[in-house]
Amino acid sequence: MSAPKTPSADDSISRWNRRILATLAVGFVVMSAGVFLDTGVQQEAATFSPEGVTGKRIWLRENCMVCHQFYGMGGYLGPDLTNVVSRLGSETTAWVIRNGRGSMPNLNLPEEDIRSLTIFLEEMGETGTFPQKTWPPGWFPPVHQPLPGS
Amino acid sequence: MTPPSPRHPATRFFWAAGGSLLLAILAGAWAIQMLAWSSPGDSIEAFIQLRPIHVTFAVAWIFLAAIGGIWAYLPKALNVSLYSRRLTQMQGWLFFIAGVLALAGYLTGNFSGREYLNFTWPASLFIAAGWGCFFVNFFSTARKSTKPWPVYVWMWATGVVMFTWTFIEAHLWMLPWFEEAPVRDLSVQWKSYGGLTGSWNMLVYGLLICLLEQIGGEGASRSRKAFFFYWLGLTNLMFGYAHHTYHLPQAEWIRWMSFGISMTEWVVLLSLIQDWAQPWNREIWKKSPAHRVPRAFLAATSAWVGINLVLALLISIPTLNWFTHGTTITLAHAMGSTIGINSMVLFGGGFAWMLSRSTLSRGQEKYLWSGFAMTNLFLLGFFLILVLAGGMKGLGMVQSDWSFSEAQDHLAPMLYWAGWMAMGLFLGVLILLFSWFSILSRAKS
Repeated sequence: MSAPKTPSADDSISRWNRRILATLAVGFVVMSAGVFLDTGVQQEAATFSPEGVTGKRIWLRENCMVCHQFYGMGGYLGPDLTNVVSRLGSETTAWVIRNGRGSMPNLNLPEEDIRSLTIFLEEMGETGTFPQKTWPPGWFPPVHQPLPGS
Repeated sequence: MTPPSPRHPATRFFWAAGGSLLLAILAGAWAIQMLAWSSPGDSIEAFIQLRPIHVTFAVAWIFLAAIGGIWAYLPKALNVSLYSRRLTQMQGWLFFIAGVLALAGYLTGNFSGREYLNFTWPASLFIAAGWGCFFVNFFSTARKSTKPWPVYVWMWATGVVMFTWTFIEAHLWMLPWFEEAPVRDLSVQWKSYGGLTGSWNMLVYGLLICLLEQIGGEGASRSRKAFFFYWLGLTNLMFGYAHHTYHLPQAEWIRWMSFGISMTEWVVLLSLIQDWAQPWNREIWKKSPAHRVPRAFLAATSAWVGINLVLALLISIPTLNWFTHGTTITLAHAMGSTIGINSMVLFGGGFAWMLSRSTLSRGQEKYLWSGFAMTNLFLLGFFLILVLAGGMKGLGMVQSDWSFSEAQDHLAPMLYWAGWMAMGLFLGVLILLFSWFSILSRAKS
């Protein structure tokens, strides 16, 4: 009768590897589901109006993210536009889109596209604030802000 | 008469990778000169087309060269034959069509409007089909091995699976449930980009460990330490992405999870400090003088890993992130990672394989070293200026309430010098690419 085979170091690592990978994979799927379902710190999902969605499609079509950012994420050539409408007002924002300003070109958009784009930017600004201009800085940025109408 | 031997699959991918990098650096250099010397309106309109070309083909370089490296080393490492040459050809052609479609879209002004994956859906379909071929071919080849896989094969396998997941995730914005929710869309978009970067890092770092074993005989790829760092890297890939989205109004648990996971990278830094002298150990270099070219690239990689890790750890601390987020510090981190780490490994891996099938004259070697030195020096200059400019902007915007145009005025002199550093970097990479094509054209299949 032969002696039972002793597992090699390779076999032992391989067994541990499979267990750890399985645990990480389950954790990743659960975490991803949590991110997909997250409604944010406002505890209420912010959603675009139908005109805001149209504006978003124009934003994507015109490739605005190449120069601009939301919440500091995007291109660095132009300013962050998270709160542009609350900063400039919707009429000035529409004027800048219509005529261009500084290095921002006139995109020759029809008036209804300019209107949708302004609504999109306004609704984006209602989700939070960026950048946080408070001194001294805290730990995570404070982002509690009631949704309009809530 | 004997028929010509079929071209090795790695060769095709190395040619395609070199072509992609050439296109990426030409678009990058053109964008910089347009911004520096053209009228504002014209330069922005050109930039809108040039930036996606630069980004898409720089990412294509990383994936194509990593895949070339996998086809070069996987069969030998596992002592098995490639499952299907035809599938590698199909994969190459599908990626080629995707590249043509993406480029045609950019030149005619058709974008998805998304960062990194700015091409429209037909190009996405061809990439997905090409990746499907790679998925089947990789796992069918690796499954032939009867022995447990070394850690780098696990890393490659993880990279292949994670890219599949993250590529699907990056396209979820097309569904109304994601499209209509601004915070959810941004959160999932940047989660998927974290995974995308992580997936190519798995392919590239796997190649790095494979290379260390192949050229240096360092048989550590089955050790507990190697697997520990693989698990740690994978945990960071999966759960650490949100240190880029601290400012997004997402749930607190996502931020705390990412912060906690990101801080585990201190362990990687400590390990790197412990072994810092190894890549420059003369005794190891003397043992295999034929491998001096890939060894130099790997030594540069280890220096860049250290520099980038320190920066990544610092910008993952929430209070410091207030100053660095949305500034050129993030750009410095991206450049340091993709050029300093990824490209150094890929050049090292590519040259190691090509030089095992070709020779290098003294003149060619001098030329290659000049490209190597220029690339690293100008990258360091570019990196430091971007960090300095980003730090100034962050401090000015948070503490002194600078507007965007005030920040631009303050930073203009630094960005001018950053532009010159980028042009030097362009020339360095161009010289390396010339060596790449020249050696590749003489490498035996």
